[in-house]
Amino acid sequence: MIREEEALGKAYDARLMRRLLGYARPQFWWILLALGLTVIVTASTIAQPYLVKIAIDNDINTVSLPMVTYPIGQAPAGVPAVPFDGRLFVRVKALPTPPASTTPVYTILAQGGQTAMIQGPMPHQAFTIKNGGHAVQIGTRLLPAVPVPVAVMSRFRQQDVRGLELIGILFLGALLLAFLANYLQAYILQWVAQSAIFSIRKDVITKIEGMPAAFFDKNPTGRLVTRATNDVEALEEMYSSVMVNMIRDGLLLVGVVVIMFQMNTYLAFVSIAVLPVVFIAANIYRNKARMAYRNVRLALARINAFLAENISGMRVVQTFQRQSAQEEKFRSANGAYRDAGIREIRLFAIFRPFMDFLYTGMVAVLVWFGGGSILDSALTFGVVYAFIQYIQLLFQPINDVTQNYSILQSAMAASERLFVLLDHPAELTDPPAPRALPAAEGRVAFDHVSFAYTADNWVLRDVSFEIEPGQTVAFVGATGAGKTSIMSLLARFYDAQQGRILVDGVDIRDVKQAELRRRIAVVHQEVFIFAGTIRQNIALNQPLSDQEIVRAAQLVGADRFITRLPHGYDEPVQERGSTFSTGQRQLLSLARAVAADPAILVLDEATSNIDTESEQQIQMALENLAGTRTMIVVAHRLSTIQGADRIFVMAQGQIRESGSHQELLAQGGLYYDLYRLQYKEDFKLT
Amino acid sequence: MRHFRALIPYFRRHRWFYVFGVGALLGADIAQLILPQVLERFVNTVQRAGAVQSDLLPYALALLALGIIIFATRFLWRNFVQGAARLIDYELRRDLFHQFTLLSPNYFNHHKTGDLMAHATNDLQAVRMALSMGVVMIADTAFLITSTLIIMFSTISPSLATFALLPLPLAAVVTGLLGRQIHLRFRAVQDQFSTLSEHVQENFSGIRVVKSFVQEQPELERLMGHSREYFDRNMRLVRIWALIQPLVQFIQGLAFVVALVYGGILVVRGTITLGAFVAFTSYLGLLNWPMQSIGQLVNLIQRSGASLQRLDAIFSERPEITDRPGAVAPAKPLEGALQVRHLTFTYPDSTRPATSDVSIDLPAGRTLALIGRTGAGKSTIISLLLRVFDPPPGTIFLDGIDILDLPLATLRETVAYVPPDNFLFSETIAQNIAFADSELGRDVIEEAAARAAVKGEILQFPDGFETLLGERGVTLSGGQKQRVSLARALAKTAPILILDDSFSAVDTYTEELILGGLLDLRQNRTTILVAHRVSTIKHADLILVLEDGRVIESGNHQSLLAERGFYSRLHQRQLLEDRLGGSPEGRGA
Repeated sequence: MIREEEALGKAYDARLMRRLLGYARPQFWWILLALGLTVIVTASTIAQPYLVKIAIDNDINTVSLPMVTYPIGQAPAGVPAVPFDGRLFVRVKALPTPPASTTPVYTILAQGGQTAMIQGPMPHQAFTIKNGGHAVQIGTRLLPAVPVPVAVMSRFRQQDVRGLELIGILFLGALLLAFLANYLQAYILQWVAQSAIFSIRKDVITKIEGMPAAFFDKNPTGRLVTRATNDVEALEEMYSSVMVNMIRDGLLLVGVVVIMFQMNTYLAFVSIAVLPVVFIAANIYRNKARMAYRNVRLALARINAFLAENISGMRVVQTFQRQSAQEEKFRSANGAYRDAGIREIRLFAIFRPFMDFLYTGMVAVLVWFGGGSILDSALTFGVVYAFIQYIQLLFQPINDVTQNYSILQSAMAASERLFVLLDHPAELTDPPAPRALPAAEGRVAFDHVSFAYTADNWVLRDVSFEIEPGQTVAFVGATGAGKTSIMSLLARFYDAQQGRILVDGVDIRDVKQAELRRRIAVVHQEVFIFAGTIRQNIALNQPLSDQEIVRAAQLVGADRFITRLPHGYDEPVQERGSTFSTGQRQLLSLARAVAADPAILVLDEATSNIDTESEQQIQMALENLAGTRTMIVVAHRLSTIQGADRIFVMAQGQIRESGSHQELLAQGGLYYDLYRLQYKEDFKLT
Repeated sequence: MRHFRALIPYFRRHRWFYVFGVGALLGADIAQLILPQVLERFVNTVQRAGAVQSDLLPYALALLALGIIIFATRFLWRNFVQGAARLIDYELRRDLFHQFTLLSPNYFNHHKTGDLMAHATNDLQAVRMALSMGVVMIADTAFLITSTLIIMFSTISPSLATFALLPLPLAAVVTGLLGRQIHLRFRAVQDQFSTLSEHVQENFSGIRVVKSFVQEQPELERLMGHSREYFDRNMRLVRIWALIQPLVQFIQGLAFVVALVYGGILVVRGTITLGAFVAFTSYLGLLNWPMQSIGQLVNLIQRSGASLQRLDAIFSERPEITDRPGAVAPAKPLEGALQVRHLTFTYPDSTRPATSDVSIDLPAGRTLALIGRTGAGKSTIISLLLRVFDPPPGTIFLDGIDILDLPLATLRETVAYVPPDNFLFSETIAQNIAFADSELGRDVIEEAAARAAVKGEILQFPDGFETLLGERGVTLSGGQKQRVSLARALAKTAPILILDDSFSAVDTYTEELILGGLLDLRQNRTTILVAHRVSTIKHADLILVLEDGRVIESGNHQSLLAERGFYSRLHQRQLLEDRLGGSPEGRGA
């Protein structure tokens, strides 16, 4: 049996993972493309703070950079030079080679909207611009200065504005690239995921469809449907996000750390010092969250089970006057769910804000250490700004890990159930070298067949009989006498424990099941009508012409009610044929069997539970069909089978009497009693 | 919107949680708003010539303090607001189940169990989301957006704020508009998922027909067609769903580019300080979440509104069967004399009467048997007696009192009932037998099990009477279930015992055994037997043979056999079937 698993298994199982990834293999190149796009997205994400750093250090925060002077017209080519005060000013940074250390440098100082140029580098102490920009006081010293008018200032800063615009364009490009890559990547991964679950679903359905009847006895349909639907669905996120997210997070982590070290080793060490704390916190949280989540799921499952049971058993609850007692029980299940939920909230309420706190704390640390370095001129402000941004990026993958983990966990649980199903051995297989059935005759033989559904509960004991081609035979007997089991064995829904069953002289275990069943059509006790039209229900995917379909319906007498339907043969079937009477549905399934044109036609209690009119029609159909093929009829009402060539009377899994109607009546045995009783009843009550 | 009114009493009960929670939330917001100010002053200090590292200490400490405040306030609002939502969720579910216990059995006939369960879980979850994240989003967005805008415009630069904020409303529009489209396409995906499930379900339940006609391959292709359509619809959803996140990020990036270039130029021109520039970009970051959540909020409110509407429909459902005004329990306990007078009853959705002119007079302590084909009206009479449906006034009396004038509780306490479906709960066997009264002693439970001829089998389980039944425990056979259900009724001390087709899965020998055990119990109990087999009822004081809702024969076993009618034919036929030897449990599987 394939059981539902309640507990949460491990989050990663290499064996399961390999099989799961196998389903994505056909999309290997697409996955590779998605990975490439992921690299682009990550690169763009990492590039953005760096662009801001460049903007700050090279363009925004540049007013006081040291400059050297050249006579008018003699500045090096390709370097921005601003004419002022009869000379050309060029930033030292812009020069291809640094000037000699003796070359005088000039610096623009800005304060409260005033700007003044002094000779010498930026002072380390506080300064004040005085005399309308003609002097600058540094400490007690008063230096001469040249005021720089606003119009000239904007000439000095022209290059910075241009630089900013360039950064803006680059930034925009990075955004656009990330946008496109991000969208394409998500789309491709979804495509990969959907393709993978499409083929898993196909395998699962194919597997289940191929299982023998006994498998369906043991496993409730609902559970099998869940395998093919919800369990497969649970894998979707595994393919669409976890697979690539983990790689992206790794790339991001490595990329950020590398760029941090490239910018400044000291601050990088300070920054990654927090990582162990983050990892430990995330790890503790992950374990606790897993338990908390599991408790919530379990409590919810309990509520669902309780509700399912109590809603369907409400009548019992009410007749036993136990409403308040059940409410009390529900209160405890409901309360457990509430408490599990609150515990989960509390856990989350600590973890997420704690991560936020770590981030803010890291900013404080950067303000202290980074700010100190700026004051020592060891760092530019842009670097500190970039670090603050990068720290935020460092936290993202660690937060994602927890989410990926739970996705992985449910995917593993679902795939475990699926693979158990897929690895389930087919109990009833085709032989490795199947024999072909000889030309269809319709000969059937049971040779000392004994059969039990479950160990030692023998339903058939040493049953032997032979049916000649073209004969009509009937099986009668009480419920549980073994009639239906004979039909199930003949169509090989089960294998008998002892004896052989021969169709046209060949043991049915030596031929392909499909070939066997093409020779035998069974009309079952429980009629099954498929969604679709009447026509589709009769033809059942066979390429039959309209005439053939109509002929089959006419032969069994289903034609009359079908032509009375508003759309005739194209009438759509509502809700599994619930709008048709039992008799009409029975006629339909009989027509379906006839349309299949089998050599052997089996009617398993096809006439029980139907109204007299339909019964008479089926009776006529049987007479029409008699002689055209071998027919095996299981019937409750003896009137249906009086014309049979041979009648087998079954009791306790054995054939007790056999012969024609007249012969059996003459014997005066079980059949005779049965007949007398039914005849009288039918006579009196109709 | 009007459906949200139903939540007011719940909301009011936990108002302090919300007051404190939203208070803490706004506290966290204020701390977040102060943070860029600290950064601004830090930047400007670092820029100042002559500053030393100790000048930076206040800023580092302030950031640390803000971090602690944000941590504490976020911890508090999550606990208060989300905790309150959990409490309300609990109360709503409790009240919903209470409502279920009030509704009449007929209500459950017309509503699928799965749907009712979905209301108690999925719909409540949607409401819970509105009560937690919905409230948070409303408070957060309103406060953060207004205060950030005020700060940006008044303290930094109105022109910078104007240009940088220009793209942001797009994010709200995109999430809102695409959100609606996504919702539609998502529904299409879910619909197809149900279609697929239905067809898979159909295929699996009809597997014998599929196999008989060798239709595995074509059926598989048909299912794969539905699966392919599911695939296609998923991709249609993905086409816009995958757009949202990148698009919103792009729009937010756009705002940042404007802030970077234009804000940078303003710093270059000396209009704003570098610190103000840094503060501005931080404020811009603060706006990201609220802008996205505006769009989500609209969808959240719509969805939870729909869920509330469905819940409201259940809460406003009035039970069909209730105590009549003035119904009081009689002073003396009922003895169990049953009278039925000219009972004609037609089901609400039918035109043909299910019973016609049925009259019964059964003194207390006697045994009545109802026999007849399926649909003859036997179960209808029991349903009316139990008031699953209300009989017409003046038709059914207990001890001379119209059962409509009895409180439902009194009526149900008077009757011990064995339902035909033998419904058992997933509890222990002992708990199931003691269902009527959880205080019952072990001796009473064991005696009831012994009388129902199931004690021996129960004791063979490793856990005996403590054996857990159901999905997570033992699955009983049909016959065992039936006898446990019988024991449950026998354990209940009630003047009337009703056995509704309670021997269908029990073999004739065991049936004799049980009936024999019941005989001495029956002396002081009114017993009503519904049966298909003559053997079950031959000892009854009064046997009614029903056909098409009418009594066609009545009397005791001897007199009915003498009549040589339906009853005697049934008797003969069943004797013969016993001889042919099919046993009810013979088919196994």
